[in-house]
Amino acid sequence: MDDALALARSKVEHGSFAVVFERHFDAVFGYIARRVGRELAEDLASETFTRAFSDRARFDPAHRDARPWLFGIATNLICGHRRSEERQLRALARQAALPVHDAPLAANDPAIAAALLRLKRGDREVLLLHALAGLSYDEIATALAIAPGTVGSRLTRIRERLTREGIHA
Amino acid sequence: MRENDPLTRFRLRDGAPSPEARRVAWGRLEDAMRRDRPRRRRSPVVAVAGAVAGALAVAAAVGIVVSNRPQTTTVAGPPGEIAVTISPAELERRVLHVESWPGRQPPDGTVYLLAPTGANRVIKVTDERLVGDFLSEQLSLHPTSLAVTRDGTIWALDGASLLRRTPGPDSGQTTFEDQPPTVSAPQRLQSDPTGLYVLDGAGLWHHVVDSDGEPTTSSASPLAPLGDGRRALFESMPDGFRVATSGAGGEPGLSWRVRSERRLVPLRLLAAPGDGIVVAVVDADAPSERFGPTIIVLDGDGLRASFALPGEMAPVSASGALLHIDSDDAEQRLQRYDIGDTASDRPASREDLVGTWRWSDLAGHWEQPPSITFKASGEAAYYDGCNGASGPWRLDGDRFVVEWGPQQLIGCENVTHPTGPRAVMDGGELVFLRDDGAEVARYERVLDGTR
Repeated sequence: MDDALALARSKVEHGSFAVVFERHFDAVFGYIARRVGRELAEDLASETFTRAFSDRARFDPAHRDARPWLFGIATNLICGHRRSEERQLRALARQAALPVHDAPLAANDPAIAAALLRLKRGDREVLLLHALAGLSYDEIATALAIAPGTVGSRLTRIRERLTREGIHA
Repeated sequence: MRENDPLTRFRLRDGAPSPEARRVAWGRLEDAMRRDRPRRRRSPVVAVAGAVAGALAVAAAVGIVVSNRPQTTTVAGPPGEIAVTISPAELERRVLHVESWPGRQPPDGTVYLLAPTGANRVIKVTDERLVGDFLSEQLSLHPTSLAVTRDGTIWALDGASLLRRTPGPDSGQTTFEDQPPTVSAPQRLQSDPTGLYVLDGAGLWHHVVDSDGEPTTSSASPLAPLGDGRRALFESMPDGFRVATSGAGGEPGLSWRVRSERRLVPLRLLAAPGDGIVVAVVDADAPSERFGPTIIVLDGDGLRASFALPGEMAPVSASGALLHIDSDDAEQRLQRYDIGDTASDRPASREDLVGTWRWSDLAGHWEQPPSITFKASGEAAYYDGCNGASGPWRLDGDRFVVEWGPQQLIGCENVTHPTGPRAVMDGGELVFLRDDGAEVARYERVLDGTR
């Protein structure tokens, strides 16, 4: 049963939503944890699925896969903690210490943290959905409600910028 | 990602959740599910059993396989799987079957669970507690399926044998009696207010006992649960199908026939989105090369009942919702039908539209969120975070029309503000629909004083 069918069925049989939860919870949790740390991720990943359940009638069944939709919800929730994320990135960019057990995204690389801070917020979301979550251009477009072409142009711009800033593979 | 791509620097370590994080998240989700639909107060045991019974009723048409994992039980079978939640107490008993009075409270608050504790046991559950293996004294019986009919008769399937246990003041001492075989290779039992049904080895349901407890023989599907507590019966007739719905108490109600050249096709209910609309599909067990993917859509008064075949647009509801059939997979056709939403929609009035709205699906954080404004003067304007445009808007009857002028700037990452030819209100939300009833976009009102 694909996600769209599970979500449709969950409108009359709540238990069908478990299919979506089982299929995507790990990926959503992992993405959030890499951005804001595991501690906060426990709350936000849980909230992502609770909201998805509440808003399941809004899921566009033309998309068989709920993953982009879930990452869109997760992105919104992360944005609500943007200051916390950026505060940690700033600390990392200064090479300040963070609790090791809850280190977020760029804990091991101040240069990465600094580069992320310099990106516009919209560019940062596209970059992280692509690099961390592994979403395709179309999936990112769905998650952020922007055109697929915009995703491509943003990633090109980001690559050029990172290269200019001396960040290489 | 490309070779030498600087973006690879952003791929970092694993972030798998701990079992505890997963458990907590699932627990919160269960809470949300419980809050989602207010229900009549029932005892916890009966409530859980009722939920399981509902899910199993859906699963019955596809063949049941039960597998367990913490806090959930997955009921799976082709063409997919259905997951239901089940309490740890029931999980321990690995419930295979739950029988209760369909569509309403069971008589005397009793449900029966069939659990494979060694031999399959029938366990009686009252409102408050598990009574225990009330049939244990006679468990040379190993039932694989169980049903309770309207008069309280308990039916059990033990191998190919159908047995009955008649209720009465001394029912605790009575034993099961053999019934004459009426169905070859019986697989499963199911009951509803119209009687007892047996699924045969070929996947067809047989109506073997009527509502008065008298033997009968016809091919039909058991009542399928509708979303509003009623149930529907699909029955094959020489000239088509008879479809009957029940009243809220499970009693027989409105019935009608559906035009069809097909006969003896097992049907399975897919959805009952409200307004008496039912959506059914040829049962997955039926040979697809014979019947093909077919969805049957009916509205509450039966007047617009229709067959929907691939490529067709089938009218289904008074509110104008349509079901578009565009693939060979009948199951997936359900996606095109927005279950449960259209019933509460009403056409938007001019007064409804006036104000500022935010596209509900818009993700991301915005300093100044994209919005769309309909002014009482007849002017509309949108802002997409960078760009904007304006133009006149109006409602012609139920038709929504807006004519956007040129955008003010170029070079922005435009956020589209999709609209459609029909505007309806769903609660406090503004919803634009296509002519075929499909939802285009949903907007939430922005409380900014422009109204």
